[in-house]
Amino acid sequence: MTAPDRDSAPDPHPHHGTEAPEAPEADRSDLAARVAALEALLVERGLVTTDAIDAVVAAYESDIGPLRGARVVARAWADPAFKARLLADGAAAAAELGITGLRGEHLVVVENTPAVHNAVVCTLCSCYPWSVLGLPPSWYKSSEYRARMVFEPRAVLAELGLVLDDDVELVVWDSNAETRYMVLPERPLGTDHLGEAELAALVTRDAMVGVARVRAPGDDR
Amino acid sequence: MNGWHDLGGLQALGPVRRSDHDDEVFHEGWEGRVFGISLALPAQGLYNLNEFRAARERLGPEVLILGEYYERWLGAIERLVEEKGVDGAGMDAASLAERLMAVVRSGAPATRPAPAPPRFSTGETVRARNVHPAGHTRLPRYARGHVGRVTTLRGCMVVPDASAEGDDDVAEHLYTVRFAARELWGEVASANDAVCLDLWERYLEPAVPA
Repeated sequence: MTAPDRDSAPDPHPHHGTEAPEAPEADRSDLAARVAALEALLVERGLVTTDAIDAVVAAYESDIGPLRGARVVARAWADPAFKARLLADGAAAAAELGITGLRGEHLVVVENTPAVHNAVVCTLCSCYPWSVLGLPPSWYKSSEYRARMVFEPRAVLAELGLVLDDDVELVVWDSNAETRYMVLPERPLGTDHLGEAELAALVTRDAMVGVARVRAPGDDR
Repeated sequence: MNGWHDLGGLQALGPVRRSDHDDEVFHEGWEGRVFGISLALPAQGLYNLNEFRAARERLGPEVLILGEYYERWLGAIERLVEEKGVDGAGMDAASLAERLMAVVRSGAPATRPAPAPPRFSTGETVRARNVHPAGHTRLPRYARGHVGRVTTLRGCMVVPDASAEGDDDVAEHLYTVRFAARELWGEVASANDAVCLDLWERYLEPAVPA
């Protein structure tokens, strides 16, 4: 995406409100330089080490992501007793699968049913259940999602491709404290024959945030 | 603080924008470095998570609304480093990678022993207080003054308002409170919708059920 010049005419797209312009390219190289200078200073003064930062970056780029949450969902679908434990204490149940960690200490899992749909936001910043989903995508951290999801959630879900019937109850969880929320999506029809690993492969990050449903294999809706 | 970070309900915004880069954890290298530094400095005791959020909230709208996401983190870290000083004396840098990865793997719980029994019970009707603290708080403006129902008690957790001032030992009971969407937003909202928030005891007062 090219960055629009801040002094040019407003975006002509006919939607409500204004779109925040992206930072011009010059500011981005400045950001990289500021970060390099900060890291160099902190290393030089003995506060941090390069390898500590390397390790954290690698962990969240490679190891900690939504595949973890998908395993939890698949286990809950396959094992009703596990599902009950998961809904009673999300962190403890996830720990049974070896899934623990930062920003998941107080994990709460909320269940979608035909009558109730859940979705998660953090209006104040971008709090997200890292231990099961990794780091949040840009749209979750955007001003648009944060502002609108508590106010007009059905419109936001529709924009993201999910339309709810009027009589479905919608609960939006604003993650303003250290509790972190993950949605247990509905198991799609036509998946009774699938094993846990195959079930996990169907579960998307978006479904665990509550902005999409899980689709059965071959379902192109 | 009634700041640029407290966005719930703001209407002057467009559609939620998705991109092909949504699944990139860090779009540029510097973002990963900022993220790593943001976890390393609290592990070294320079500041805590709530001080970090408070510093971020004091940045201007050019960063909080118009800037890049990790630019906000960078701005907050730069401010805190300036305030707290860049003196590594007494800090153990050699063991940092190991300690940091242990925290990443096992977490850092916010729960603390309860100083007193909970004031509110499950099912009780409560009102979010109409308070406007100048410092850091996690009570969003859109909920203040509104009535909801306690659905779950979450135990006692460190209070962010106090922790942001450096007082990490103040803990209070945390309650999940469910607000009807129409209570928050009036007739524009669906009668079938609700918003749940996790609110510390000091954010709440008793209310009479409707």
